[in-house]
Amino acid sequence: MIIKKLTATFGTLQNEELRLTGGLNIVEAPNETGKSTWCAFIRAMLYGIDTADRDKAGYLSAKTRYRPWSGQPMEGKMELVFGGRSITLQRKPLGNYPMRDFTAFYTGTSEPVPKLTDKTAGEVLTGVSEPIFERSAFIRQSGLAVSQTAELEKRIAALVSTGEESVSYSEVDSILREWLRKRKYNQRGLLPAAEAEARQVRDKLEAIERVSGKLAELRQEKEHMESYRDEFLRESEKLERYEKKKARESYQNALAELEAAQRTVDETLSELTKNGKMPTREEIAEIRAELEKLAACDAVHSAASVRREQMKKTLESLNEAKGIYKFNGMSPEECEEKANRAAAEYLAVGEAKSAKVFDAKVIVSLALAVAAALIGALTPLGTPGYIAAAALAIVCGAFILANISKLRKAAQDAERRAGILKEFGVSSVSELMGLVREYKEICYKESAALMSLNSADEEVSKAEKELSEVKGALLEKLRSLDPSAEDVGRAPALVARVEKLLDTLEIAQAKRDAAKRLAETLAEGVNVDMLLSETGEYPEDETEPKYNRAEIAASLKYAEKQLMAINSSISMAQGELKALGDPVVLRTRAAELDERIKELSAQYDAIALAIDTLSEANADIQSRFAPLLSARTGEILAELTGGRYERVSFDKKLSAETEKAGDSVSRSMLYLSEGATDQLYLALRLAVCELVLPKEEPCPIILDDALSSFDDSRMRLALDFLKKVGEERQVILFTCHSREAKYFEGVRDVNIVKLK
Amino acid sequence: MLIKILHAADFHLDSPFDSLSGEKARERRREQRELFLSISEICEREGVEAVLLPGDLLDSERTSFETCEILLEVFKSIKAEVFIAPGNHDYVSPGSPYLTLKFPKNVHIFTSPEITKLEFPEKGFTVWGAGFAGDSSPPLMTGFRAGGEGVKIMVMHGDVKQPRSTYNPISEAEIAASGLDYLALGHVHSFSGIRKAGGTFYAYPGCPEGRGFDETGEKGVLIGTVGQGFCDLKFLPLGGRKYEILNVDLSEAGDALSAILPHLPRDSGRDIYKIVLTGEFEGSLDLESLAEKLSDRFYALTIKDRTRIRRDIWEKAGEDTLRGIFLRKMRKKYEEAKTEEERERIVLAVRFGLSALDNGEEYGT
Repeated sequence: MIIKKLTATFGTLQNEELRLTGGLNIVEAPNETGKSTWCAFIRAMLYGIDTADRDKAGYLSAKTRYRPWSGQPMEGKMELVFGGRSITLQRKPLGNYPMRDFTAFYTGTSEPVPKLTDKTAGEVLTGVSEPIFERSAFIRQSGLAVSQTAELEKRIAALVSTGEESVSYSEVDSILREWLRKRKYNQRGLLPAAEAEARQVRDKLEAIERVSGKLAELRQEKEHMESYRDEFLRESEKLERYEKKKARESYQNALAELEAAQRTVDETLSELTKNGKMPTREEIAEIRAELEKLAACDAVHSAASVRREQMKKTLESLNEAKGIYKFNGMSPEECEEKANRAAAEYLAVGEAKSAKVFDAKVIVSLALAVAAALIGALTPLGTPGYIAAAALAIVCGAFILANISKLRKAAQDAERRAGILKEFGVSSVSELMGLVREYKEICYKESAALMSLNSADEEVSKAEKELSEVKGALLEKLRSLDPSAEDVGRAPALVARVEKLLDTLEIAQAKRDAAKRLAETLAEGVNVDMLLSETGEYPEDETEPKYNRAEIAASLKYAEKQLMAINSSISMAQGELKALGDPVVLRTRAAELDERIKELSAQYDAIALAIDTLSEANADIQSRFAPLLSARTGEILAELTGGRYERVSFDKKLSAETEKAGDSVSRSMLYLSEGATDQLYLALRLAVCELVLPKEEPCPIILDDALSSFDDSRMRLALDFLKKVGEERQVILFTCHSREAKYFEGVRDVNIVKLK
Repeated sequence: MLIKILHAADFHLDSPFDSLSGEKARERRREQRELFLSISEICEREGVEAVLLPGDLLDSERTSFETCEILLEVFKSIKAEVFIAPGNHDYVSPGSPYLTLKFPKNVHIFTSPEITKLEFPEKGFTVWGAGFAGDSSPPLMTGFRAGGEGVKIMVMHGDVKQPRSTYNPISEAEIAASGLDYLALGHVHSFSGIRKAGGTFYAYPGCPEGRGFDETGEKGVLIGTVGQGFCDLKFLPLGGRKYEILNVDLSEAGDALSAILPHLPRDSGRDIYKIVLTGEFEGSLDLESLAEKLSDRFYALTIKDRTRIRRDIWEKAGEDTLRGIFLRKMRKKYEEAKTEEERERIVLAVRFGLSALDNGEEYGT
């Protein structure tokens, strides 16, 4: 394809023309004269304007950037030669879409060119898609570096393999990675979602198990508590039956008591009134008073009688006492006189001395006498001892004889005195005097007792009289109780009997009244007939209730409260279970999810394996294309640098390392100067053009200020190379400098255009 | 003396169901309970005297309240004596329904791992049994000899002819030496046929209804008479839903649906099916769409892709393209793979890779 003429209303270009030829074209255009605009125009004519592109901060879309300053609509015309024929492309706006109205016809005719449309024109005419054209044939100074695109990759891969330009490794890799990410990317994707759901399902199943266990426990608790409640309900019924039985018994007892009490009342009344009128308590009290009075009189009489008897006895005893005295029959004076006479006599005789035959002196004397006798017997006669002993014996003997005479006299006196005392029966005068005193006392007592006796006799008579009066009154009153009463001896018994009857009557009446009240109370609010008719509900041999009503009520209340709480817990647990879901369904879902996870994991692993293997395959291909590209770039670079740099190597991302001529070490391009880097990338772009652009109907290469940073000598080398390229395909070099035009001044097959 | 018995096992009440949606799982559980209720009707109709349930009546001790109520309802309605020997799923533990529920008097549960004897001289039989105390059990029948009069029956959950089993392994020699007339077994979920060891008949009835694709085909219970040295038991299918697996080879097929249709059974509307696609198939299999188109012919349907990569696809491994190099590398990995699982992963990776290389449509969707 060769572009012959361009007519543009585009950006700063207002219906301007640019004529070109095949081979190398130098378009000298000072700054601000539209170089880049012409470049953009050429691309827009071939591939259209991307109307979907939007302005952003620091960026203007093509449709905005190249809106004609004149305000005219964006449009243009390109005349070119393709396939040996001249073709005119025309673009105008279509509605709001700039340059969307596309026509292609053979120049000078109205015959449309088949297969050329707004969308296909660029690719058909250049043989490459816009991205490839952009990255290969369209060389700008600021965009020298080649960036990877799928298209470019496909092209390069196709070059180094047997074809299949439709296959792009990075596209396939991108698709596989998208499928991989779909399954898992960090915590997102089908696999994490399935795992999360599986965890949720498992959690639910665990919760169901937990709640089911709790529910089973609650049901057991409920059963236990219901048994507890039922037991107390039975106890309550038992207690009710027991209470009814007791009530019945109580009522029956009350009725029986009432009957018995009434019977007693009647009998007592009958007994009390059998003699006519009913005795009163007052009458009894009066009789009692009379009885007391009688008792008092009787007591007085008795006391008086007793006292009289005592006096009698006292007198008798005094008389008896007097009888032992020798003075009996004498008056106290007579007695005293007699005693005095006797005492005087006694004293005249003399006090008897007590004499003892064998008192101490006598004994000693006797002892000495004996001793002297012995000594005398033992000692010879006429010796001093004998004489002493004999003297002693004589002395003692005389003493003893003297004592004996005394004794004889004393005895005679004593006998006389004894006779005096013996008359009174005493042993001493003092004793005699004592007897006199005693006798006198007895006499005095006797006189007093006689006086008391007389007094007692009077009392007795008086008491007897009073007693008789009282008895009379009492008897009269008694006859009101018992007309047949004849003496008062029966009175206490009679009164007691009547009193007892009255008491009995009173008690019986009280009992009757109480029994009646009880019966009435028991019958209150009760169907008495039913109560009495209920029999046999509480067997006799059944034990009494264990608990009272309060205990039963408390236990039932407790049981109900507990049951309410348990039922509430059961409802909550059931609700919780229901909310958690059907366990069979959940387990089925869990199994399903496990299967799904297994499947997704297998897919994930498989896709990962495919990615790795494809990467290996691509590396194989790249390892082939890299040398190819590197070799050609190296050749071009050598030409552009005059042989300074010989070899270049590229990695997958087209980062380069260069080797200077004569240098055995290659260095990263980062070590190169800016100019050298530009040369390197120019060489690369030109190598890529050679490799990827179709050789049939070669499309133009367009350079926009691509040599600006080259020094003059490198510029010349570059221009020479471009001229060589121009022999194969159209080259259009836009430059703001004049040196390129000057270099080719006068050279025939280089077209120089100067824009104003 | 002949005793009419019903021998059923491995109900696993309240267990989950494979490959069913929530709604269908709920429905199946209701059906499972109704199936259990039908046991009572069968007993009534057949005049059964003893119901033998050797284990795994319940799937676990955490049986739902409703299921427990149904259990009690059924047992109350059965006039026969019922004998339960808990198994490795419904073993006797403190929270087990076998200890917490009030079973009617005709239900006898062997809650001890020691063999216990229950005599029914008026009915002419004696039943021995033992129950699991955990999810595994050592041998329980070692040295056992049945003595006494009448028909001698045992109810036991265990594994016959599996000496390394941890679920009460029982040898045929032990069965032969036991002196029993009939040994009612549970644990194996498929009907074993009526077997004999020495003078003792024994059998597994299998589970009464399938719950997954490992329990395919017709399921039911055993019913009949046993006596001293006599056994006449028949397998009685209970008519529950079946799990079935249908393999369809897609090797010569252009599209999956056309290949599947001729293989479909006619009366499958009540059953749960798994269609396994096998053979060599190159096209993209949209399993969800296939399942949707076929689902109304089954109660529930799952489709699994077990197809292999077509050979001519592998032939493209010879191409010098990105696809070709990719396939070449995958082929090498496939050939070096040590397990079937690894090979399946590689095949799946190839499918995804080719889908991405071809048209960008995700494989399987």
